[in-house]
Amino acid sequence: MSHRRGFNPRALIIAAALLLPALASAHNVSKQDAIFVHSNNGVAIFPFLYLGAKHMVTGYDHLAFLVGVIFFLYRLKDIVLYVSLFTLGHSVTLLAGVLGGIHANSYIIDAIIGFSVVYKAFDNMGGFQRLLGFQPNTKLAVLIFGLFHGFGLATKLQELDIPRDGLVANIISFNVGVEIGQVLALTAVLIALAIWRTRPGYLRHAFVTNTVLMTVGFLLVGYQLTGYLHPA
Amino acid sequence: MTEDEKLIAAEAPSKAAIVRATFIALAVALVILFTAVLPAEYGIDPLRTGKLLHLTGISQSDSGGRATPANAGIYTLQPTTYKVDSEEIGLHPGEGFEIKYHMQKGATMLFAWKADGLLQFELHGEPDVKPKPDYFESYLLDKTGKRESYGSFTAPTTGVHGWFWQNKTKDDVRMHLYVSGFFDTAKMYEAGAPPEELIIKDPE
Repeated sequence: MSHRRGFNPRALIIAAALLLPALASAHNVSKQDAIFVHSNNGVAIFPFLYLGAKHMVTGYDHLAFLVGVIFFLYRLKDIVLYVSLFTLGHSVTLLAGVLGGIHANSYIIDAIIGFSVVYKAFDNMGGFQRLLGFQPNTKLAVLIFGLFHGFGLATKLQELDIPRDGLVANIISFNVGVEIGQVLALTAVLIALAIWRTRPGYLRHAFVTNTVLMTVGFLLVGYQLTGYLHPA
Repeated sequence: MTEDEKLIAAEAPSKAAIVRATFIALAVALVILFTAVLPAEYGIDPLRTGKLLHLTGISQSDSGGRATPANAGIYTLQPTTYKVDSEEIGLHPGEGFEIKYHMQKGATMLFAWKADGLLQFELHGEPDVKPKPDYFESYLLDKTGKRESYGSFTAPTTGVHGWFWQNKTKDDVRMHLYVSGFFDTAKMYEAGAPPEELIIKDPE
């Protein structure tokens, strides 16, 4: 028996796009993506752009934090400012982590990302002001947690084990993709929040929502810390 | 502080409400963690809820199978008949190709492949019961390229197991694959096309 068939990487990218799972895990790289990255050499702007956007849109930990951050932001100016700080933070560590070859433990990083959700939900509840009597700088907090989110993105990209060839362009593409995914996700969240804010009882529901958000954060922390203490 | 933030501060919940909400969040998270997430993700099942809800199987289809691939001993009885397969494949520069064999958990096969040029490859498999739709396990990944590879393989899970090869050289590469053992069926895969069944006869 003899076969003479080929498949080129472009076909794989298209296949990966078609197979986009609605809710991929925040921590797994799909087979098609992994084979693509393994077999990729050289610059591949759009595939990495796509992978970055996909990671952000399907990464519920990043999304939960962003929902927390913009929850009480009403002005577009404020939203742009806070999201920019978050972007600045995660871009710095994503680029530094991958290019500098800094290998952070992904469980610890993801546990901190989970904690960032708890922190922001507590902040939104008024926990710092009411309970502890002081308000930590919210802008600084977003920037610092942004740094940890960037390390999280870096560890995911490092799991893909990308070839050195064309690395810089590919990581920048991935980073730009992350921002595109972030804008897409934020738009959806903002539309939902805008509608919700016109309803009566928003503040009471907001309190419950932040409690749920905090639960998600605690759950992520527990899940990741267990993974760290109990390697499969 | 903006006007909106002042408004929110004025209507902010009481200290007691914040403390209560924080503890509720922590308690609910712990309950979900111990009853569902830990059993499903790590096979840790302190309250036996994972077993009750059939969640522990999710993690066992992954690492549980890998830990005990087969019985150790002088012989291992196999669930299917012995099969032999031989495939010759030509790959142009840049082309890739995949052949996988459906095997029962613990079934073994012997393999040998030899090429007239360097091929990068990944030996990997997909269990029939996957925790996620695009889940796969990588057993051996070679990105520097090899001309040949010989060995035996015992399936850690019931599913399809096999190779992805790619020709990263500038010349055509011909490769011959020989597989014998206890697999059920063989398939080859191309992107964009449904998997194609390879016809394999039992040895006479």
